[in-house]
Amino acid sequence: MNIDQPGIYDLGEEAYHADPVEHGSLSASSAKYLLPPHVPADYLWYRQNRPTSRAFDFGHAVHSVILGVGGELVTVMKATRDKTLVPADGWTTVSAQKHAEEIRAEGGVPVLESDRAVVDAMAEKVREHPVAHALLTSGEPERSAFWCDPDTGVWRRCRYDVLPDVPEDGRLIIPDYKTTSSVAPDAFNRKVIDFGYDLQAANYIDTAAALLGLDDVRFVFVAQLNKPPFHVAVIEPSARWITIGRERFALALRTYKRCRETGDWPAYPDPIAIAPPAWVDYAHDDLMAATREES
Amino acid sequence: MSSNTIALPSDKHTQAPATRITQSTAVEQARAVAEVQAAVVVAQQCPRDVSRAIERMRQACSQKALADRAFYSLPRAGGKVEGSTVHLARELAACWGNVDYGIRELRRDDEAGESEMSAWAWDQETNVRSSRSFIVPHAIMATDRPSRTKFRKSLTDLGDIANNNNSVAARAVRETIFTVLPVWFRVEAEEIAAKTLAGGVSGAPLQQQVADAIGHFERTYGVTGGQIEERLQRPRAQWTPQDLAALRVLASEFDRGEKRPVEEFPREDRRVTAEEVAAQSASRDTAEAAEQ
Repeated sequence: MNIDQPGIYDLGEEAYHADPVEHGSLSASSAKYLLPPHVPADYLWYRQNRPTSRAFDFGHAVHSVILGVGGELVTVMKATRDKTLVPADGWTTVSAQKHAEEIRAEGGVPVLESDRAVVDAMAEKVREHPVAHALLTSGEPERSAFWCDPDTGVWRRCRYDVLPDVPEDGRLIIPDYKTTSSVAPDAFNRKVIDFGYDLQAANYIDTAAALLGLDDVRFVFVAQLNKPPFHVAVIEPSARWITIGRERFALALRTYKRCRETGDWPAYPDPIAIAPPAWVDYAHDDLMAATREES
Repeated sequence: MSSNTIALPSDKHTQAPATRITQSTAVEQARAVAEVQAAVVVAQQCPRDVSRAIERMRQACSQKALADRAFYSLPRAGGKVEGSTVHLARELAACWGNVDYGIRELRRDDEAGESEMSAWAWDQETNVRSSRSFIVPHAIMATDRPSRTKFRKSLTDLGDIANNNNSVAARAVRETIFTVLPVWFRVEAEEIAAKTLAGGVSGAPLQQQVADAIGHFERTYGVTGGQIEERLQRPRAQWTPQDLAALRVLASEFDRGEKRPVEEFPREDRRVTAEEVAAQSASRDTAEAAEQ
């Protein structure tokens, strides 16, 4: 499938991630590899080696159940010594890994039996949270959107967990579900920095605004603790976060365009100079001062 | 130009050398000199009655229409700038009497995009004069909506340039008027005007007036309390009588169509609330039920 018209599409996950735009498009999750501390060479590597880690499968499983979409959850089995199949208790055995591969190949989502209970408990907790539940059921799940960035001519893409139906007042509130090790505001803020969620928020907002012709689009995270008691928190990034994400995404688009035109995806330049950060400097001075007093 | 003259930046723009003046210019110059002398003589022959000036000032500042326009307050660089307006200054000049004031555009340079302006105030009786000359760029600060960054926007429309020049000059003339007026006269005027404001229109308590103002803005102009708070840079609990006066002036400007609510109150950064999500969800459910 090739996409050459801007719009909102109902695509399978693999089709979306394979990037159906003929000359390539930029998403927030790949854009972060074009920005510091990464280098464009990281982007190229990421595009060619998309991870299918355990965490990815677990997150995938949770998404499937909570949004009611995606592949079917299939319990991973492993072979015992006498060749009978039993549910795998881990990912380490060769037969479990082989089975997981088979499940993925058939479009399913491999899940350990012990994780299945966790996924169900998490989904139950989300259903009980009135705001989170209302947000995640506000429209069509898993919609892919594509459009051409007017400033660079580079295509942009994003995949909404849920694209809400436009309400009467035209104020669209786009939710995005995240599992996380902490839903405390400071800790989650750190995740935004580490995983470049600001890029995602800005890209979701600007894409919806451009394609639906809206001028009041909001973005919220529906964050859930990935361990008991599976707290759910609805977290809205501030206007400043959106501005930062928007400006960083614009920079990534320019870098992408330049690298694609020149065919040069640079890694780190040689040689790189490094100096101790200020806090090391101060700590060292303090240490020297303290030991001088001692002697 | 002889060596003992002092060159001014504006000299290079002077069209004709000072020595070659036409007859009509000479007549105008003589007339201007005579006018100045006459004004001073007349002013001294009809000196101001200070007690009547005070009386007039007290009466003027007790009027709500003046008190509403007597003070300004603007958000600037995270803080606020506050003070008395040019409206109060002009009114006080009229009360004090024998004060001439004004503004003049000395030179306009469309290529450089600036005007040279002068503002003055002159107590004709004591012959105390305060004036200032300044350059007004034909530009305003504007905000880029998507990125919220400020940038300098050049003005080309003649009306816009005239308005911009006049508003900058009005601030300058205010300062020159306050320079020639006695300080005690101004201070008393400000105190009375502030007291008039505190009394309010209805004499209702301040909190009630705040609630009334918000209600009026919401009903009439679709402007929320949050938007007003953002404009005034403080929560409603901290609003002053001056803030309410500024809102009354703004409301009358909206009513006369001189200003538009959407321009004066850009949409606030309205955060998502649980109530809002619930309301949107409920209306979607209703729409769905209606379809079935």
